[in-house]
Amino acid sequence: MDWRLVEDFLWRWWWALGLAFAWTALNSASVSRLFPMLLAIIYAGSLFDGEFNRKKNFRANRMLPVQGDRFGVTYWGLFIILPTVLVGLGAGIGLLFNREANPSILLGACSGVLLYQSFLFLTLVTRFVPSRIATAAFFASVLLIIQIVLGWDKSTEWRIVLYALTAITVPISFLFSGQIATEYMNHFDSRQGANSRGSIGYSNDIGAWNWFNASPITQGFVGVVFLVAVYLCMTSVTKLITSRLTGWSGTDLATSPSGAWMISPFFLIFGLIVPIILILHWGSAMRVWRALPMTSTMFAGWLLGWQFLLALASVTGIAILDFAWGRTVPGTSFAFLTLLALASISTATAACLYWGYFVSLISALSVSLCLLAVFSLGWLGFLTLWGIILYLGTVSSYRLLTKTSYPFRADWGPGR
Amino acid sequence: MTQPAIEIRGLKKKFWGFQLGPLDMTVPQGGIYAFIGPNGAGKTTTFDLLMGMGKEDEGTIKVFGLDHHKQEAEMKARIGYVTPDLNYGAWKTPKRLVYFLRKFYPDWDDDYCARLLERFGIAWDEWIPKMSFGSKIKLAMAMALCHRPDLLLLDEPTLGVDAVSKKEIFSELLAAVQEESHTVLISSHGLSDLERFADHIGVIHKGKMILEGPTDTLLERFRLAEFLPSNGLATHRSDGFYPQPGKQDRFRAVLDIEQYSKERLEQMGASEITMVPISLEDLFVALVREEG
Repeated sequence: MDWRLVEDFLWRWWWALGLAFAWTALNSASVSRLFPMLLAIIYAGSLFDGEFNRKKNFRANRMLPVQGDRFGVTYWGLFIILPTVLVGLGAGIGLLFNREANPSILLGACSGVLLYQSFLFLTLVTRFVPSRIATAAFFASVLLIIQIVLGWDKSTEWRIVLYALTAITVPISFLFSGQIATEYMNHFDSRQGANSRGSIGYSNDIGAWNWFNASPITQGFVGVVFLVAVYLCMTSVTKLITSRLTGWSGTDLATSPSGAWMISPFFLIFGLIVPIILILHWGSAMRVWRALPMTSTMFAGWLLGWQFLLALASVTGIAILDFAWGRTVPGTSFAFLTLLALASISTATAACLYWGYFVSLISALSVSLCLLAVFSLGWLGFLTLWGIILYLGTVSSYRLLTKTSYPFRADWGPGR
Repeated sequence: MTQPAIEIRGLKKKFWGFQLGPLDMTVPQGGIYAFIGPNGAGKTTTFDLLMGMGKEDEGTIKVFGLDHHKQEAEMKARIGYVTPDLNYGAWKTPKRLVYFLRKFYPDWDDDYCARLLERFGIAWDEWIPKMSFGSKIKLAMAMALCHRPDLLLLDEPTLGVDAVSKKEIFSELLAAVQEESHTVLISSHGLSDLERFADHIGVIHKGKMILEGPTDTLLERFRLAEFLPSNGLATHRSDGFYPQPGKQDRFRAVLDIEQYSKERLEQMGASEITMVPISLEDLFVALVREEG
């Protein structure tokens, strides 16, 4: 088995998870309009973040003999089309397959993306590079103004403009999605320029068939099929689980007992923003990590250790929210279950990486046990598993992270 | 026969518009091996593949006889790796970075590390993201040396550093080779420095190794020749014959004297032949410059 596949899988996991949440939200009639907009901004912001802060690269690119606006279209444009793919296409599919979906979701999504694009072009043309905090504050205030003061979603003109712009940007996004993803993955390459011929980067060269080396059209097609599959799987599984737990039919999130998690600030902060920022933060040091005396497997374990900690933070945040809102069984939350599974995968994998064997087997077993316990044993099963996860995850992650007693260490180095 | 430090055989990797290899490369143990080539020749790609950043399409890489996939951890424990692309910013200060890195390497030498940081003028609590480019390179260099690796992989370590820093880096490199019997594989565009320090040279061009061997032997093998060509003498570029801009009526070319000795040139009709030694830089330019 090529462990690089595992590495690659780990990175994509977070994005697939985020996509699934985003599309679930977009496909629902009950979610606040603000949520898709926030998602659009978070995704766009996270994609842009790496390049945005590489001022050296920014300066270098600004020296190209290209007008600011053209420059934005040709280069930065690639990075802002992806959120359009996620949100615009997601909303479009949502509308196609769910006739009850509220068109204002699409409007919200489009306006979020277009707002971001406008802001980005503005920064490129004016050459003003604001801090991330300033950027976030700007978006928050503009969104609030649009949402509260202008009441834009009631305006027919706004709708026409936004639909038209979406109709133009979504097909373009589809065609370029493969290229965008390639550019994006080069972030993890940690090279100075994402446009360098550095596509050899960590996640770009894995397996026999390499999605990143396929033609853009093939990439776009396979990518969309993959995302739709992830979306369908995630929503089906979460609906199934929730219906088993609560008796809810699973047809409308608005009537679900835990649909509110989607707009919870805890979910946004712990489930999306913190993990994305941390992963990007550590991802920038990918070359350092790959130079360490670890096999790909150990490296995967390390990443999983981090994932576990992040997932734990997410789950804890949502659990606090659940308890604060008076829900008696924390396992009824979609996010909780999903992240519990993630925590379980991470813990099991981190733990077995520490011990060295059967990554996929233990992971799968762990997830099954976890879900089974929640289903059948209620609070007792939940608390038992929580304890095991907490203990195993913390110990193994800590050891993986600090290497204080790493078992492979004695076998390393010359003369050993 | 001593096992090579690095042995690459039939290495191939294809990207859009570029193919590395098939590349064969042998880096002997001990000494400095200069891996030179024009931009985009495949130097960094070779380093990347060696360090497991990407997977080769074909071929094998062995470091001290260790397979770079199957014995990755053991191999990397013996390697110190420096490239301008190493980003230590996430650790914020050298103190935190050292605390993190030292646990990976059984042979990490704290005293040596402290000496290196002091020599390179890096404070323990200096803020890494705010460091100059040169300081970051020196920090990477120090981190690569602290665990006293058997092999140092240096990908453009002097890129963007000032003359003083460059001297410090090369000085430390030489000390590492002489005192610790390290092997150094370095890619750099500072050919005059490499000519002085390198024991072996490998020239890569368009993804293929076009010349490899001991520095002295290679420089002895090539000469800059000036002569009056006869009408019948073919003066276009061929293997071992690299035409250079001429001087009035005299023709100039860098020649591989194993193929084009003075006697052979005379037999081919050339007259008034002079041959002088050439620098590594002249040889490199002759090898990689496109005809016309």
